[in-house]
Amino acid sequence: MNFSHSRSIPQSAREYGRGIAGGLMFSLPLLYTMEVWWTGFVLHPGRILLYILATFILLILYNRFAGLRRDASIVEVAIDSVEEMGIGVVIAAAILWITGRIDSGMDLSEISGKITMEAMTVAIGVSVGTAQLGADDDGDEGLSGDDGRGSEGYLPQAAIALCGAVLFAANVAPTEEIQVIAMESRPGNLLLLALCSLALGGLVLHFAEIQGHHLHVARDSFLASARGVITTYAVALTAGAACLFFFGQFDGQPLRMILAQTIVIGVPAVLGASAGRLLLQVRPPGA
Amino acid sequence: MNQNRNTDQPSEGKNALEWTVFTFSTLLVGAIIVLLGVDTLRWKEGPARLEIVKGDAKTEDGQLRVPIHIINRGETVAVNVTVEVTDTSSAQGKNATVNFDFVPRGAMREGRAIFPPDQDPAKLEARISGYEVP
Repeated sequence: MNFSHSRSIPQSAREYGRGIAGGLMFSLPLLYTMEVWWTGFVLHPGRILLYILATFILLILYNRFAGLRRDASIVEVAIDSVEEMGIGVVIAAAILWITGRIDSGMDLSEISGKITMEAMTVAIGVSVGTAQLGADDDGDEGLSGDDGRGSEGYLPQAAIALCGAVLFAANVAPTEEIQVIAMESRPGNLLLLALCSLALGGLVLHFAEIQGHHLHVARDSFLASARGVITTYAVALTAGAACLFFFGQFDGQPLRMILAQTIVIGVPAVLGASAGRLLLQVRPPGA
Repeated sequence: MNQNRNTDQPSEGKNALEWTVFTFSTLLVGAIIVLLGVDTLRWKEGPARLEIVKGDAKTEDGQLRVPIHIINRGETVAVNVTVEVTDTSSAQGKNATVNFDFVPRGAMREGRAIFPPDQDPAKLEARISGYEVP
């Protein structure tokens, strides 16, 4: 098999080190959230399997369009994604064990469920950390060379927005607060939240001039700008709803509550899909 | 590629460390998928079946502490399980309550019921008074 990258063992070790740091940095709130531990044994194992599949697809999208080896083949990207999931499992298991959340007296289903529900978010953090926390000496040049234009298309940008939205939304999706806000909000408040989310998306993408906006935000015309903001919000709502589904927040809820929760989680998700999306593509100097 | 940019000499293709991490990760993720797959196939809809096992009571710090083990042999997680331990020797017998946040499928949880030191442990009876379905 031909690989587009080759590196020495010390280089690889440093890259794994960055991944471990990123995994902990981006997912520590979830590792310390008890609702996530509970979902590990409350959810149907089939849904946890689906969560693994969804995370794998997300990792492939991120590694392909925004990750460290954007010029790699799909097989290499898949290998990287499996590695990130494996590292995520080890980190999650270690933290859960050290903090006394898993022990040898527990049933294997409970242990595997808890580890998996935590490990998948850690894996996304590992992927982001590997790509963003350094990497100025690895020689990776992006999907189409030095300018990285290959990830500027509409769909690649939507895919990276999805990764950013999941990274932000997953940190609050399992908490009871989302349900409480959704339950106690009047329709007018929910409408205001939706409008605020759209405004936040517009502010980040077209006003705040966040690093990388000139490269990754389409602004040829008013229509292109509006399409960008609306797509970002749609991606945020999709990512938020998916997170809520995977953490069991939709179970047994009426349609009104499902919609309300999705709008509530839309606020952090849209931040991830807009600001997060741009930050996930920031290349370190010299890369 | 700019393989000479760094002082460390890169090898061709993946190195031993990368292959080791990949192999280990594949085995780990594969094992979890198999475990969850088997769990999915064995999954049955049904209620929680809770069983209480009373342990040997001990007097510590002027209190009689009765270990209460609760085991869920059913198909569903039991939430907020309340176990009442009652003195059956008289109509106005003392009682104690032990609460468990969660008892997952196949799991065992342990608590302690507290009584005065003069309580006869043989006269104590434990029963589940209720739980929530998640």
